[in-house]
Amino acid sequence: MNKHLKLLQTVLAILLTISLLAACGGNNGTSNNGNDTNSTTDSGTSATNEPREIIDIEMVMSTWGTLRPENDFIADKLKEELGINLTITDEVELMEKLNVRAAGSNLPDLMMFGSANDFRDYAKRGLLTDFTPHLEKLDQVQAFLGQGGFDKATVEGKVYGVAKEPTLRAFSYWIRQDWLDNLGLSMPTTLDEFYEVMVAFTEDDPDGNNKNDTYGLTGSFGGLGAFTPILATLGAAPEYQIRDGELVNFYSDPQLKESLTYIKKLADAKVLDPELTTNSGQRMLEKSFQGMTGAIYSTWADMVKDDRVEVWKTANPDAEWAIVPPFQDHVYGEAVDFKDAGATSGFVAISKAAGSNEEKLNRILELFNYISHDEGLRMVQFGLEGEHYNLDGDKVTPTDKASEAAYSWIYQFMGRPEMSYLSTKFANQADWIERAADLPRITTYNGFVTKLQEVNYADRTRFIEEEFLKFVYDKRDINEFDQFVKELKDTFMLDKEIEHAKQILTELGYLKKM
Amino acid sequence: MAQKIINPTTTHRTPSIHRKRWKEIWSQRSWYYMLLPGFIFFIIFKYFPMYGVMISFKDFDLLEGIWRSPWADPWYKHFEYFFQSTYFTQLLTNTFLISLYKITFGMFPDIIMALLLNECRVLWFKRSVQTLTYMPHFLSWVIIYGISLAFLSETTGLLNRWIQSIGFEAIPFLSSTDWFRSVLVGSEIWKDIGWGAIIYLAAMSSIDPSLYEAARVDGASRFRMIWHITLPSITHVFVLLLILRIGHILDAGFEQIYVMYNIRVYPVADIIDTWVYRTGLEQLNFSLASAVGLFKSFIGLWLVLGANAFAKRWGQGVW
Repeated sequence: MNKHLKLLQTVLAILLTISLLAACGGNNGTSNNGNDTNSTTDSGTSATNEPREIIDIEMVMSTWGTLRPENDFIADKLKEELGINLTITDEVELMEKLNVRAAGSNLPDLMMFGSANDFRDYAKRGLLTDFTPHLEKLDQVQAFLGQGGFDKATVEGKVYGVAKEPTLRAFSYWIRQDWLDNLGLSMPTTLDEFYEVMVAFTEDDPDGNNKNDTYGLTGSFGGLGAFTPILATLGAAPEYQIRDGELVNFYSDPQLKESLTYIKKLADAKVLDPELTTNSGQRMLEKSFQGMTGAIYSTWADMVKDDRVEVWKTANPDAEWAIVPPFQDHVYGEAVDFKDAGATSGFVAISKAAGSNEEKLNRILELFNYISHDEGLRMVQFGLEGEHYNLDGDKVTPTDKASEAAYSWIYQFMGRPEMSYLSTKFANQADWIERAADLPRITTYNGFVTKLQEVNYADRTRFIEEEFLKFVYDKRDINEFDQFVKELKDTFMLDKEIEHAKQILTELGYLKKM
Repeated sequence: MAQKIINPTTTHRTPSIHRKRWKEIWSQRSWYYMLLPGFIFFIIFKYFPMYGVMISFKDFDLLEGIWRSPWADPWYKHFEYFFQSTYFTQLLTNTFLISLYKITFGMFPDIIMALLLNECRVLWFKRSVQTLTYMPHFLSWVIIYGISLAFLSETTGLLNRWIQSIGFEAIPFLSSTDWFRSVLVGSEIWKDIGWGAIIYLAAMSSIDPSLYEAARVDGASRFRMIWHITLPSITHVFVLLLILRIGHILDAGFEQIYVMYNIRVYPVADIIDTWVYRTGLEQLNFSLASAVGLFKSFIGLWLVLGANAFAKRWGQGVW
């Protein structure tokens, strides 16, 4: 650790030196923008008749190692359509690189932030262009993402970027249909039936090998992840939801107590994978696929992608997985999971320097519009029409050359229409995806709520997880739940955080003013 | 004034002594050249980065850099944050205990291993055992965790299957507060036993063979020779390693614990470094991480000085 720290310090010292050099290097990237022609303010489509001057635009993002081919046809197309020469730099250590460049006031024109905290931090420091005044130009983006795309990127009342659509949330309980059939049980429709099924899976030898080697449920204990559908059925969802117009915090929610009581019942019956707390990575999936457990909180991408099916079919040719529909003994409506209205898979922002150059700003806004509808949107999803996909009405059919366009996701700065994208790319799983996506989910607002400076969240997380563990595994009486909430309030300022969240969500209009 | 105090004879002599010393150094210059790379290494990688220690007293801001970040108010803010953590006492206890266990249970197996190898007269066997035992040192903790999972897992582990097959309850080695520290110490011994033995073996090979010959002439058995010749000859290495390890007593093995621990064993396994990782580095609070690092180095320094002073009383000090 000590070594790490020293290494870090060295790195920081070197970074400082580099940043000084960078500052000397100056802004040659942004200064050669040439004559300031009057900008084309027409929004939406691009093709203007007279050839326009090509403008260089630099974007920095993390592409997770995805490489663009030598002849990047998307970049060519953008140059042709919009007159921009877009270069994308892949940074693994994105924030460190950006920080150094910010220190040298040499930020790239476009940036893709992975986390809301980094994005808000940059916005507050005045490093990003406020494009509240240009919003009406982004009509296609607005049509594509809705107001949410801007709301999520609003900092202190101003829009500093566009929040990409989050990836599709498709988690729910999956269960071994063949085990149910073996035991002559029907799909559980209530929490009580689910309990019965879990007990039967553990005790009645569902795989018929005459060995007591199976358990009901696996998953990970962290954040009560393995129990999410149970929480959702009982109306609880981490960490902020709005119930009957009131903001509800997960930890002080009486429904959490109900949930913990139910989970304790499962633990008492010994139907849970005993290694619930040590499972990490793919381990719970491995256990499920090997036929050790009969239910898991998971998603189509982990369960029914072709390679996954091969794994569990090889382990057991009779295996059959099915989605558990929402339980009917719900408290506040059907739900199998929660979905964060504030979630995003990235924030695209324009640097202050690029924003003060009107021509450049306009081209960037055109780019945003272009990739938000029709041909542009299809291009960043599937490639070029006639080459990588064929269009028949609304239906996109990938050609055999579709894999050449696999890198196109890099250009999905505005996100993608998740449902149609996935059903096209994963035609075999389209049915599963649709069913999983259609399941009801509790809406949460965590993405909007910022953390309090003075709270040690690492300690808080540990405290909460440890107490949950005690409640579930009978080390602490569940009737002390109120005491637990009080401890959270006293030690980790839960009340203050809730007030803070209330204020933010009221400002954004999600909560009615009192 | 000063000149009056100094003895006139010494003032008279100084220039010639100086010249003589420089002459001597110059004549031995090739040795000093060899010292140079190491010296530069320490300057660049150990002393120069100390400049960065400053951030433990600042509210470090990546954008502002080390120099321009504002000073923390009060200056001990980050230290206070650490000391006031709900888990401070537990962290400190865990760190000390795990380190102590590793030192006490970890040093003797190395020596025993070295003795066994040293006494082994079948050369090919000695060599292959040596290679086999020091190989694990080069494995990463992630792999070792994988191996320990294969053996110790409560549901799928080999050992637990065996325990169950002879009719006992499975033991949750990796998630029980009773067992976890033993697993930590055990896996570390397994990983480093061969590596640790190398240093002792080297020390043993430099023992004058005539000592053994003389002992054999006097009719000493092998155990007598080990007890009276081998062990006394390696005590200085033992003390040196002990003092170095004591200096690192607050490093209880971050990588190992970070890979192996889970919520259930936090009460016995959460150490200063894992806490710093979760609180400081994961949340970009570099000032806190640096402050805790400084705190640890400070304690480590005093422990090394203390241990050396203690060892000196037994005539075994390092310097």
